[in-house]
Amino acid sequence: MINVHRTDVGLILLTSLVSLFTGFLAVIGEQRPDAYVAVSILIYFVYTAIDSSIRKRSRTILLDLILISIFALITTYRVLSVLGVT
Amino acid sequence: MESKYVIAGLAINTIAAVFAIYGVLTSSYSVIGSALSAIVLGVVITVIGVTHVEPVEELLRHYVSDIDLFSTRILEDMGIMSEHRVKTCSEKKLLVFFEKNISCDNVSSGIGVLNNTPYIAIPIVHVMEYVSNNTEELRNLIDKLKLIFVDISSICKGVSVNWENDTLVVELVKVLDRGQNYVNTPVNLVRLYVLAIISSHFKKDAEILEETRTQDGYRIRIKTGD
Repeated sequence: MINVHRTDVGLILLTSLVSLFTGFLAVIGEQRPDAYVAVSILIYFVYTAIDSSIRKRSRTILLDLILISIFALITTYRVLSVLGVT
Repeated sequence: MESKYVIAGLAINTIAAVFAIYGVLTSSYSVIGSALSAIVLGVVITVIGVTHVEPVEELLRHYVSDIDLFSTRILEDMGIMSEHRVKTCSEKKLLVFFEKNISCDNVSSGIGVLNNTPYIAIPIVHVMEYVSNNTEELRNLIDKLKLIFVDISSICKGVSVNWENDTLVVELVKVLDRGQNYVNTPVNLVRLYVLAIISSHFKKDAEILEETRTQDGYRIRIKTGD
């Protein structure tokens, strides 16, 4: 019986989800690069909130802060452009 | 550090960077976007690899079980197994098993006899330090208990704390299977950490007065102070 580490399974699933959604965005012809980044960041947070196997054995607080900041910047920029400010 | 994650992360980043450059040169925004998405993933995997902590819990789990059995045997040999009481001595950082009331002032680590009362005092310096370091930023006792028993160790799904007649009643709600395994011996992780957290929070000695195991929970009544 193959003994697969839980973190390995978590990372494989995370990679699969990011690949799936990135592929989906490419197929529908999404031209905004920041949309791809935002979706990847969102998938990371949603997945790690459901499955804690990745976070349990790593210290990701700094990474989380950086990714949240990037996501916030992208969202702010898009909201402002919808409002016609930028 | 887990080098396989670091290597995989760096490899993904390298390939994604090449695709990003290609996307820029061909002005293909979907390629740039896909490459950036892969870079995010690569960075995540790299960071997880760099900050990874070795999962030695499998080894520790069996070691702890054997140490618990050994400690139980010592209790039996000292003749304090059936009617034993347990408390923490906050200042001396000891977990003490005893039969009749003894003061922490005269207790020292190891096996001893005080006023014709045998006791076993196990040093818990590292446990107290660990609890103190991890909970120092939390103010409420219940938050500290939840951090240790729910967030970090997943021993149970919830914790409740109530004061009843000057005693503290801590209940671990919906204790999971792994938690149930750790409450089978007198020297066990749950008792130890509950007492350690309470001692650390109140900066006082803490003694277990009563324990009750419910169908899926574990209820402990504790008094603090001398």
